[in-house]
Amino acid sequence: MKVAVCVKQIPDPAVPGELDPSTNTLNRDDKLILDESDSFGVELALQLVEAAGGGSVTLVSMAPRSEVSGLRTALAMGADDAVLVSDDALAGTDALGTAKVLGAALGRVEPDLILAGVESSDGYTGTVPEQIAGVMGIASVTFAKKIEASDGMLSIQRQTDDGYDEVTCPMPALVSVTGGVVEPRYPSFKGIMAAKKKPVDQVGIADLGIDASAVGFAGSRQETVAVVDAEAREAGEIVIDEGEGFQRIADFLAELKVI
Amino acid sequence: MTVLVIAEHDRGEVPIATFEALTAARTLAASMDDTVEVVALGDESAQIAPDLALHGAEVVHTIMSPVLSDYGPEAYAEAVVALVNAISPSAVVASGTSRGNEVLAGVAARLDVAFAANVVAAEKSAGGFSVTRQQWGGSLLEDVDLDARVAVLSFAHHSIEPTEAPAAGTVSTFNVDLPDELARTVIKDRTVTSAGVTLATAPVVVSGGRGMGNAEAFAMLEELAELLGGRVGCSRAVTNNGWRNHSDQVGQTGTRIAPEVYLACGISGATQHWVGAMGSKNVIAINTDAEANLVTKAGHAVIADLHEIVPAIIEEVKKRQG
Repeated sequence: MKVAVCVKQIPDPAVPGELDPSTNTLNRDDKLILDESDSFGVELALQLVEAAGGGSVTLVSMAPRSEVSGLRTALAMGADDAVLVSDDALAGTDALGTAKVLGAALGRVEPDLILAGVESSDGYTGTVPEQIAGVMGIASVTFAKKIEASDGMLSIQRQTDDGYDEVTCPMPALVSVTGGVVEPRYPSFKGIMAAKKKPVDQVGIADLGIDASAVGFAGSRQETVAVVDAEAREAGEIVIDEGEGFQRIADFLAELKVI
Repeated sequence: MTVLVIAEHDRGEVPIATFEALTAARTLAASMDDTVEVVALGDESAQIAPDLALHGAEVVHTIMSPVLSDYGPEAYAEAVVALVNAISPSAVVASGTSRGNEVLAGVAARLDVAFAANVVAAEKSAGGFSVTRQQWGGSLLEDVDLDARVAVLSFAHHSIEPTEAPAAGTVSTFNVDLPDELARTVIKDRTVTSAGVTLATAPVVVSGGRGMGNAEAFAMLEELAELLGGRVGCSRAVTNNGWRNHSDQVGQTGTRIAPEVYLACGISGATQHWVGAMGSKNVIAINTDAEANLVTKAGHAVIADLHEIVPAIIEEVKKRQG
């Protein structure tokens, strides 16, 4: 079974992100790391290949400056290889442009199953997985919390507001995975050493047959003209409990007509 | 022209999110002298038309097909695109729920136009549309110019109060041949793990974080939530520790909530969590740390040990409820 995992390499969330004032886009000049929400997809892919008794896990990523440090983390977990799309022309690419680029890169891999996180931790758009499926013309299931594969069919538990649906679909398909559904393995020392030698196929948009005018700031049909902080909440009343705190909370609840 | 709203429904039940989208669509349509029309898909689409009319639908386009008998993002997107190609609306909108966003993402990919998700304001501009959308999970507001022949937008869930505005609601059947292949994604079975009120719609959410210390401590939150007619939620630290299921997680990668009251116990309030809870109308925080993020955002905060104060609150609530 051949599984491809879309992974995003993002600025370290522990370091506050900065917007480039000239373009209102996220500054991605610092070192990038593997998006934690993608590590669940990598883990699920490894488990599915193990359950299938063989196959491969290929990472597909788009990042500036041929950035591989996040990919190495996922390779150290056990992924076999990676395709990295890096091209100066890609700066400023919007969600649909990203889907087209990743779709073209995934087309080269010809996977049975494509996994992606539900949404990245740095952009929160959450539209790319569904758009990749749309661009590639394959079936898709979102919000998966459990995936099983057999005889060319996928059986998926799709999270809903009040429980889950059992969904089936044929492969190839794209499945987006919710966070926290599996415990991503920590790379072993051996894995980290091996990851350094694993193949990373570096491609540009010309290799994918994509025209520079279709991507980047030029191809983006969305221009961000201003960004402001959403209204911050002011701290309200802070009470230090000296034994009466429970009554204060009951008072608040009564004030809000909950009791 | 027309602002076309995609009605969500789950086997005939329309969520409040769709009425929010209809309310926002009326404002957008009025600014362009457009009419508001709705597309409803699947066997129950005619039966939900009166509700849609009550919230401003001049026309309800119904699309019925064997491949639309249950929700499927691919089939939904294909059906909407067929209607868009037939009636050429100026905008296609839905609510920014998980379903709304995934259907619109597919619609935009097929139409090859931009999609702006989680929009709080939109208007026509010379080159297309100017929209303000929530970004970074709602912590930033971004003004975006969309260069699009048709605006594809989802309105941020919980950002608008739905109102009624009775309109004709004329039902118009749209016939389209959808390939059987689109039915390849099949819902075989549904499991409801939380009967009744859900985390997403609960009027009160009582949540626990790392400060709970263990899974057993959640029993008291269950008791309090039940007394208050609410549901129990949790932070990511809790699911990571295996104390609660992911379905209880409030946050960016969990459930986004908008209760009247959010009572957060022992939650520091990382951005990841706040993104999911910021729709709450009133936040009450209990924490031992007066500097905790959530304490500084709460309308009311009590600096206390939750293990002592929560049982006392339960007793007090019982007493007052008589």
